[in-house]
Amino acid sequence: MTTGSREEILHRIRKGLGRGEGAGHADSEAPLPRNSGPSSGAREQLSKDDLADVFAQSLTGVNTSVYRENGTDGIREFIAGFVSERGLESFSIWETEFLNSLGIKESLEGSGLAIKSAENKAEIALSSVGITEADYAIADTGTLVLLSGPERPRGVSLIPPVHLAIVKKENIVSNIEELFGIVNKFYEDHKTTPASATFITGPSRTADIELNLTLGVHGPKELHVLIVC
Amino acid sequence: MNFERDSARAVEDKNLQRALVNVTDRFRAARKRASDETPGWDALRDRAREIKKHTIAHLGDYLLQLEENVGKAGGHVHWARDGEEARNIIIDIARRNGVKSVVKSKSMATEEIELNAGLEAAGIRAVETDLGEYIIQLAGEHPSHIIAPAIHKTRHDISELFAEKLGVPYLSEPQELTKVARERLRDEFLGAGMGVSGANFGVAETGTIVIVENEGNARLTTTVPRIHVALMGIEKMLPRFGDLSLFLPLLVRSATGQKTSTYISLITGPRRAGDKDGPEEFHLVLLDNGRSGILANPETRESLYCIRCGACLNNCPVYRKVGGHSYGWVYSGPIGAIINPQLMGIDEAPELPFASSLCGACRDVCPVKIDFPKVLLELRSEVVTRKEKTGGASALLEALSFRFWRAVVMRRKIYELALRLSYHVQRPWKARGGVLRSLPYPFSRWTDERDFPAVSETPFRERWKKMSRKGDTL
Repeated sequence: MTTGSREEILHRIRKGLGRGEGAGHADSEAPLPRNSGPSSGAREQLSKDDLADVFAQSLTGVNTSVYRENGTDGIREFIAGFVSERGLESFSIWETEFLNSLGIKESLEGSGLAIKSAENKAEIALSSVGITEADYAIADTGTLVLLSGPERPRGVSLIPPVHLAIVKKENIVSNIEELFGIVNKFYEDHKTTPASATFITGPSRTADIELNLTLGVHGPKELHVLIVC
Repeated sequence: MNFERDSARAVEDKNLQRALVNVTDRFRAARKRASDETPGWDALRDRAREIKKHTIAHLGDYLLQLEENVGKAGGHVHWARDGEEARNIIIDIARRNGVKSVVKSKSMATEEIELNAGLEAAGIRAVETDLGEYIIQLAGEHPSHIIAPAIHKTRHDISELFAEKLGVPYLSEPQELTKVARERLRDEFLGAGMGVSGANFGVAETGTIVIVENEGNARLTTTVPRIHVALMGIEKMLPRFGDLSLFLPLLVRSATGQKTSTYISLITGPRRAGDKDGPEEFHLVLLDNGRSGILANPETRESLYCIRCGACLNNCPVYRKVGGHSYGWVYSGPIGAIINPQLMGIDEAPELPFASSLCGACRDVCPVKIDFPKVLLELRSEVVTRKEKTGGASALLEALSFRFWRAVVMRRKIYELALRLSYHVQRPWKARGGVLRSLPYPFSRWTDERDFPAVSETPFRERWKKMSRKGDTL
């Protein structure tokens, strides 16, 4: 049914642009303009420690709590404290190599929290916290970048009321241009992207009622970020 | 549509006036701050405009590239010439899969094709999930602002609406109302067979569609149901993945003044082998619905560069008084004034190109520097030319008056004489303060709304001569 429509729309476009059928790239002499350049927020190279500071400051500006830890024991202890302080009863978690190596799942189960399968949306909906690992973070804006994959279901960062994201200090970049530089390189090497890349900056929010800021309208009401040094 | 009637009504609506000032002031200040804080903001706008210009000039090629790459990622692409075809495509997908209920995230394109009504008529429930859109849907109304659709409603209105439609007690706090909506909509998300979203951008190079939001409802819409359908106007194309690093900050900072939005979803096809969630089917519907017609006119083609940030609404002195509903269709403010007549057909909205003072505030804030005054003038000339062709006494009278005016102002002696004559003729209507308060028809069309400056006894050129002689300054 839509084959005819496809041809007709393409025909209308070519005709509108003053090009005959099959003329293709007839006037592509005008090259595609650059999308980045010296004027677009280039900044001096910061060390990863400085970037972590900028990142932490940006997060604070978007209603997000920041913590820093290092070492497997330190991280496990932090998470145990995090869940007991809030009285959290259940969790779902990404099973990335890094998170597995920390043994968070086992340690939380050991302290009596119920694990909810990250594979089932109804199960995820029952967990009081979702734990993920951000692949990248953007210091400038306080943004986490989460890629989807078999061991990283999208629902874990979205459905539970609390989201705890863990990010390695070395994966913090300074701005969105630098991030797209990395992502672009990945794309050029692999010619594929994950089904979903999600940029997260702060907890879910709305201002649809009289411009009143309200958190947690659909996604998590709380966002916590642990920077692993 | 009837812009004159509806805008007059809007100006009398006290709640609406308060809300309009509130929302537009807030967004304007935030946009200003965000753009001031972005190094090289103006150069970024130039670059974005150049990329859009290039993209639209090669639109067919980029759409084909997008189609190919969406296909490679396992998605399906559909082409819709108009709203009806787009509706039928989406209804078909739902029927084929036995879908009974659909969740929707905010999309102006779905408003444009009246998708909800189409789905309901086909026996499929459609639920808006953006909080503002949810409120509007419950009330049976239309959005009044691209970014803040329910801004014309007070918390009191919403409390009564929720009490009536959802059977909850009267709640006065936005937090409580939001919580009710969250709970209701959670059930909808978990029960829906299909999610329908719009798209802020489509990237040709990778076959990715991009959705920008704050609430997370678009993420739920595109993650939880088994099928995801995205509806995208064909002008939303970008050539390269890397172009997003330019366009995302421009869009968000122009729209709400945030440095970035809470969520940005980059979606490339359905879930991959091994993925535990995400939709099993992904469909992208490409919507023409008049856009290729805009393309055909080089004078107005830049209307298609728009990325729907809403900055032109917030900065428009006309929108700020008359609100979104006066524009009679889904798009409002300066962008509505230029694209509604072009998408609907100029005979459907002949008043809109005139709903502007041509002050150019919209052009000054536009992230892709659309020259609104130029496009408006082009459309005005089209309206007038058509009116003259179809005839009618008033069109003839108007054409004659302007010809007469032209003849007078081009002959100096006659012009001076006419001014002197006017000075005497105006006497009976002249009020204190050197203004004319009310004139007989057809001049009453002016004086009904505002004063007209009276012709002075001594023309400026004589005063100027006198002053130059005395060596005075003005």
